[in-house]
Amino acid sequence: MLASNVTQAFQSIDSGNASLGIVAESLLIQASRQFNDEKYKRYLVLDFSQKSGVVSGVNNPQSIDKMTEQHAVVLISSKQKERANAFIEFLLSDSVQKDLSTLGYISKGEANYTDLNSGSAEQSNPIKDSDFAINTNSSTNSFLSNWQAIGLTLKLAALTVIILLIIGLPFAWWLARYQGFLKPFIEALVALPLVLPPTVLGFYLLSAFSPNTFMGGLWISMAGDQFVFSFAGILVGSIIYSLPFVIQPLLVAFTQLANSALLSASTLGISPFKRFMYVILPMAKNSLITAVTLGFAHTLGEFGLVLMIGGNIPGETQVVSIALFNQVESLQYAQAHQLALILLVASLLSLSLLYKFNRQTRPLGIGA
Amino acid sequence: MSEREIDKVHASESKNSQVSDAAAKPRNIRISLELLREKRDPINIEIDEPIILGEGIWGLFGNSGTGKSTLLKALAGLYKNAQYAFSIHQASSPNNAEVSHYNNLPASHNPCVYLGSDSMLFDHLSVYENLRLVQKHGGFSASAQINYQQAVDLCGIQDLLKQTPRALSSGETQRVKFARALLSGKPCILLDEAFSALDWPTRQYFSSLVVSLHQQYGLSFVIVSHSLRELALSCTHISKLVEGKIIQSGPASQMIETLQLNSTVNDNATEKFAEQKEVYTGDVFSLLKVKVISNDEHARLAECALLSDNQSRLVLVRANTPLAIDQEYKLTLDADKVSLSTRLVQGTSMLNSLCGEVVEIKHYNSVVLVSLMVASQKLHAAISIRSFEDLSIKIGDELFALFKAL
Repeated sequence: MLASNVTQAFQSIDSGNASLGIVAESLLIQASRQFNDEKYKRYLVLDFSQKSGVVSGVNNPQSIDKMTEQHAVVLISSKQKERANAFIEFLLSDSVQKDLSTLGYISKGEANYTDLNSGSAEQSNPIKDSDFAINTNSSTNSFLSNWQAIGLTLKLAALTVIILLIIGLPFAWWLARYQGFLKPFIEALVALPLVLPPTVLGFYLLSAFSPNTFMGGLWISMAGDQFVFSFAGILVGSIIYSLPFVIQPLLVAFTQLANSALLSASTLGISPFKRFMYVILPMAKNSLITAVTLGFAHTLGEFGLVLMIGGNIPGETQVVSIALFNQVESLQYAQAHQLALILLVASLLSLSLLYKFNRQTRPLGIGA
Repeated sequence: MSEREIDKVHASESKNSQVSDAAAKPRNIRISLELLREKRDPINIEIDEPIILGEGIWGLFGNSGTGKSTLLKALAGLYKNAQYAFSIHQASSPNNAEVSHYNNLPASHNPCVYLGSDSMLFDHLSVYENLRLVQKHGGFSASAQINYQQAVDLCGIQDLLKQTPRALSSGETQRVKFARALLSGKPCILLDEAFSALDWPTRQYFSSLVVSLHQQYGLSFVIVSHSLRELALSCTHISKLVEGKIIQSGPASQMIETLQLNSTVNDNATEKFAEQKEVYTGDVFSLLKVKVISNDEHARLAECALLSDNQSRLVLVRANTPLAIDQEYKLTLDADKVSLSTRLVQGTSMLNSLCGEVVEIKHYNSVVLVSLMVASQKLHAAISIRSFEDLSIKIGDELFALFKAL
């Protein structure tokens, strides 16, 4: 999986959701200093200078020949050059450099301070064509991965709606007729995802289903795979998240229908199951269509939850909204436009169809 | 009961006496329904009547809010918490009667089908599909004795089959509902103001249809209506419900007399005004039971004989189509439409002239209601005070009652 940044990668490993990850060494040093935990000291340093193995010994940064250099620049167009220069001075001050060295950075001791205006930039910071090669390559990739993301999103939305209908129909039916004192609480619980930020739900699912928790372990023993960063994981998340959009229309329909239609059907000798199949469901047809459309459209637009528990794995958990986010992050605006437009048109189309369909009423006095 | 909020219906039933023979005398059924209205205001419905559903056609009369509909719904198993038990006397012939017992049956397994304002046609289906749905999926429909075409013809809904329920008038809806109930195959039909939206001739037709369905197919009926006249046409037994209690009950002909002549004096509060004469509301009628003897097709009349009489007293009845000979009918006759004469009058357009003995005289503020006993049936005539005085009518007088063909 591709984390959005190094902190997210660290969090995924720290929570046990990812068994292996690549992070900055400084994060580990900081963590072991902050939490005083030995586990942060068990890591290997990647050494790209070695062609055979990439791994060098622990805590031996000096053996690395080629290092990643961190640069700071002041933009020509900057209107606050004074302040920017002051900040660079601060970064290069002895005390800051000393601090940085304790976090695993190697201080150069002296600032290599180049002014791009002077024209000597080429020397110290050569820009090669090969740097862009990766980008071009990845944009054709992302064209393919767009369709992969769309396919995945449709699959997720379809499965979410199907499962929600299987659960939701009997549940809404039961809730429509349940009159106990817990009813407001259950209704609130169902409606909760409407008002709750998806990240809250994502956070709880993430915490509950980490492989080292009881629930996570149970899931692995049952599903054979871990919950977080899997398709099954985002499916469960979507089901909970889209629950109110499917349940509410059904609940309203069933509540309105329940009495008189049921009374007639039952007194005419129609059994409960047949009542549901031949009377209630056909009468609630419009609400059923509303429920399916809203559930589907809402799953299409899901972001926060999938971001938190999905882990951005192409073909597995990278849905359209996440792919779009990545493309914007990596400045691939053309691809992003394409995805955004597809999502916009699909949502608008499904909602328009819904409104067209549900506006249809049989004109009074005209036959069946 | 529909206008009241019913929180809970509780009904209990006392032990019925043992019945060894199915064709034995009707047993007492005791149904007690306790209704909790607004949680603190219980209404009891107590019925302690020698009635077995299906023994005859049972009419329930009373003002709205007295528990009539609630009783019917409880019988139909539409209250989850109600406890009740009753028996249905299903007689295909007088010698072959079956009594079945039912306890707390949920509506779909209950032998009663409830037909009232709370039951509805399924809006998503056409009239035809409504009927077919019940035939196809109703648990009792396999045992229906009336087939689809019969039900459509009997209820006169041939032209409505393709309509949607929303396009129907309330009277048409009631006819379709009745047809659908017939097709449900349930042996007991509970009619809760089921014909209230129909015009009077159609109501008369359905009342006689109920009687003939009872006689031909042994279907049971319980009829709730605020119209005594409607009950008079079909019921064999009528009970009056007040505040959830049956205060009067008896054979239909007797109850009709009691209820319409005492209808304005029903509690102690009016006792002190007993001296004061009542206002005549003009709704007194006589119930005549007749049997068809012959038809005059030219004049579109049927000659009928008053029942339970050795002598033949003829009553002429208007009939667009010839009536079946020997068929029995119940007819209502408004007291307003009857004139009295001390001797047989010739040369009048009033075709009916029945001789009877004055058995009762009741004074109202503007009219006098004179009741004659004609062939053991009571016939009421509302006449003016002047006529009453001119003819100097006394109990025991022999008078002729004159009225037009019915």
